[in-house]
Amino acid sequence: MKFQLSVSAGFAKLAKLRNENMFVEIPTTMTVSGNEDDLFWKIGDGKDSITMNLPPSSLNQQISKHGEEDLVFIANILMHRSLDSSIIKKQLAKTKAQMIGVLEEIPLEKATVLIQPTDSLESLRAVLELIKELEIKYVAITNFLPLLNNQRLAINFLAEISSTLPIDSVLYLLSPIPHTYWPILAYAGISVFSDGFANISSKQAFYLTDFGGDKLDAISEKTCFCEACNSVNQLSELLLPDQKNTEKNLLEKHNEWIVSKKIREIRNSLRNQDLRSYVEQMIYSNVFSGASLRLLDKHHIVSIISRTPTWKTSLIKHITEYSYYRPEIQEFQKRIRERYQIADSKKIAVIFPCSARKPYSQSRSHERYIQTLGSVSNRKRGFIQELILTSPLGVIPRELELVYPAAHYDIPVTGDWSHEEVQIAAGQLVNVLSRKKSSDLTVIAHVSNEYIDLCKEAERQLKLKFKYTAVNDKPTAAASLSKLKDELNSTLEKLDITSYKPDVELVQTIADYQYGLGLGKEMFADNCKIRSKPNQPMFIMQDKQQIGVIHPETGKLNLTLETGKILAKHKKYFVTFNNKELEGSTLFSIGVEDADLQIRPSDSVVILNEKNELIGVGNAIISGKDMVETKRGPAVKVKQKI
Amino acid sequence: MSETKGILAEQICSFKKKSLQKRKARDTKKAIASWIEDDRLINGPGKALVIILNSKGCEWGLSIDGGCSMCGYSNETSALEITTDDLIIQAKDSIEKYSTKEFHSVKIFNSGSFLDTNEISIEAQTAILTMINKFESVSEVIVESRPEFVTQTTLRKVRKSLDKDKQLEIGIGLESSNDLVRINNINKGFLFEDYKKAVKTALSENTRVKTYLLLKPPFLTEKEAITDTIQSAIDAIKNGSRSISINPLNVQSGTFVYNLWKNGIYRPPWFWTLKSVLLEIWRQINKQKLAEKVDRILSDPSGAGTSRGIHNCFKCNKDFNKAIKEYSLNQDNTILNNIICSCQNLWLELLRQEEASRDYSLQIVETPQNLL
Repeated sequence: MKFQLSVSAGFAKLAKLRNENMFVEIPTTMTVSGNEDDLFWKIGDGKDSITMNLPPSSLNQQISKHGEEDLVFIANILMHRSLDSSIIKKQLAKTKAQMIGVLEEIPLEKATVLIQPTDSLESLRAVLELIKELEIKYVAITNFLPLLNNQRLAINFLAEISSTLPIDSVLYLLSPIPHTYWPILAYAGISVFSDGFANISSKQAFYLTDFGGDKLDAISEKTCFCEACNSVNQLSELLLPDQKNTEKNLLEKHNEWIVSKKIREIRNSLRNQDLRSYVEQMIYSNVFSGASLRLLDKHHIVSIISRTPTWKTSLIKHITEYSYYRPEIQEFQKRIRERYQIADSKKIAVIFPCSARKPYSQSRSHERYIQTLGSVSNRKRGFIQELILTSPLGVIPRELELVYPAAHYDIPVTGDWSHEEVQIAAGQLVNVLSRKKSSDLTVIAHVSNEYIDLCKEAERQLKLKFKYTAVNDKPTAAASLSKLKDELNSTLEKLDITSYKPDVELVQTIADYQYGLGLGKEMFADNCKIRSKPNQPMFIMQDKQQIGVIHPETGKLNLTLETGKILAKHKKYFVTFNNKELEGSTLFSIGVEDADLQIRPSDSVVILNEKNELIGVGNAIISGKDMVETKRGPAVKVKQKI
Repeated sequence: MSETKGILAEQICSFKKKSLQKRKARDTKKAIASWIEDDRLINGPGKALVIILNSKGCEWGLSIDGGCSMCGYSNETSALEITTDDLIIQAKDSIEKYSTKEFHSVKIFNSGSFLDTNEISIEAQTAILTMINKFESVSEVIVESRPEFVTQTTLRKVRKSLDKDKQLEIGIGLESSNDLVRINNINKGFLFEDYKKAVKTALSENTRVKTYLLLKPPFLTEKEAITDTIQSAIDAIKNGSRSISINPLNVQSGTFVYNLWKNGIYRPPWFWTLKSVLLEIWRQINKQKLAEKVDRILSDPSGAGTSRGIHNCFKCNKDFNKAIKEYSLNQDNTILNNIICSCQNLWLELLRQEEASRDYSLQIVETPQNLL
């Protein structure tokens, strides 16, 4: 069976499990099938399916019956909760020997292992090491139900597995978990869910709904129009046997319908590159989901970010307080803190409020601000740095307004900022202003209302005085703009002249954001120019030669062989290929010798040979860590080669 | 298989050691309890006097590296030394207390082995049985022992204290006829071979055997538990045990199983499971023409109907508990066949789901409203 990744989204992934003439797309469901003495698992919710045999016991391990199944259990690891780690360790050594023996008969591509929650992190790590060592790709989890009341253990367990195992591993959850928990569990890395809960709840006359379920007789009005529900007048009739299928009643059919809807919604949100929003939407169905998302955002964000594409076009809706801590947001803020610095030549920082329209410069308000800035002498314009203040991203330098997710978010604006929002944004502002090398910066805050509180907070922390230029809380009013102009001129008067090269600043700032502080200056000389038409790729030209492209939809800078040399020299965002010559347009993981662990899917990277010489540039498909640890599947899409 | 030390032995011991430290000092001159109950005799219903002696406890349970995963009986024994006289006084007082009542059998339990002379000296053993022998109405005496103490020497002495027409029966906790289950899931410390030898010895000394079987040891699925107990009963009968007593596991504090249960990964068996085990054993007995070799198939579950004992749903627990008692007394399946409850379908679905998932925590989905 082949594993074909479509997209990774943190611990979640959309992929195909492919056999000769059929495939199953994950995330998907699995169903207990067959007769009482001949049960097996059927994996897949579409027309094709994969089969899996039943797991053996963890204590008296004997490989269970198997025949032509696509997946076969080779072990059930004894690691239950409340077991001493010494017993787990001792038994693991025996199980390992047994597994190696079994693998002589059962091909590795079918091998599946069953694990379960344990109280000992040390034991879990030992188990995962063994799974990695034997290169087992299919890992099933059971005894998970008690963890629905223990989010901390649940998330630590799943995050440890998801971040340790290579990206082409597939996690199966055999426990019959209610469908309302699936979105967050998919987000934590589960790819295949047992649909058993639908049947179990049917047997108790429970009627499932999108966000939960209730006793059938407690539901007063029909809200579902599935085939089963449509065939009855009264909900109580659902308990009658289905005319077409005497083994099942209509309630079972309805519950199966609800559950299969859920898995499709998860897949769709992955396809749209926004599982996160779906998870946030589903959070209100149980406390487990909310608590788990918080734990993931707080404690496992580094691993999640490493498998989250850097460059996306999907719109982020910040509706809940959980949105402040989305991986994209946290990563953006981090890069501003680590990879952005106000140039030393800048003597004035002007802070503007954000606008609903993105990129900001295309909004009516920002058009006016820019016009006002343009009215100062061109020889002094270069002293001014524009900063845009927003929630939840914090501070966005004008040069980065195109970059994902700065131009891709939407937030309900009411004029009231929560305490949390103020803290996040003020923190970012303080950080950016305090890292300016020389302290001769004049800060003009052209903001109003709630932004003033935020700036006051920053002033307090920085022990610095801002100049406020918005009159009557109306930054776009003529009086305000004229005050801004006056304030700018009075500061600029005292300054000499300087050059103003917006194209160079834009390109260098984006390059720094992408690869690290200072690299932009090395990659792009002061005479480079941008050639572009609205909404078209922006070509970066130097001495009439194209040395880079910026994509307007994502703000991503694509490398060329010319700019790649700089990354090769610094050994940053590199992938080392273990052969001399690149063939075809894809570099596969099997050919990756080493890679920068900073690389995330969709990053533009350089390809080096074993002598560290540049041999090509391309786009990463999986993270740097995954390229090193995986042996299956594509790693880099090659764009240019030497 | 000759190894008798189970995979979980060390941890079972460490749990046991902790709870043994909490043992109370009991009055050594008083039995733990005694009462008269309805009982199934070899030939029909009758009354039994039950005496629970306060002894030092099970040798295996108290040994440094022994003890069973589900057993907390050692916690109820005495931390103080108990003399032969103490034991005789305990038995004497209990018997005298009920001497005016009518009873047909006497069951002596001592949370250990009656035939272990280190626990109950040979003097105490014979003295107690001699006291019982005086009651003409008593036709059966039942004691319990691990197989290693069922020796010809001890049995001959014991048997002599009872008249020939008084039936002596030794209850042996085989739990399962499968060595792997008995050793690894339970840590019982002996093999099926040892049991078979003990049965043979008992039969040769005019002593019958009652075999205790543990329904649903930890780490078996409900379905495996059903198969295991049915097979064990047939194996025991074929080896000469005329009585079978099926003990659905009840969760006792301080034990290894208690910790699993607290973590949600052990659920005591369903009444439906016990019912299907009993019916299938009888079916097998008839099919394999073993009826002549069987006196009774009993079950007297502890903690029945509670979350720590055998249970179904709250609607049918009481009815089932009553039905099992009636069945045991009359050895009549009809009553079991008459019970109807909608949770039977849930049980069947859970059997299927558990078999496929090896998830021991499915009791959580028995109340879906708590999850949704």
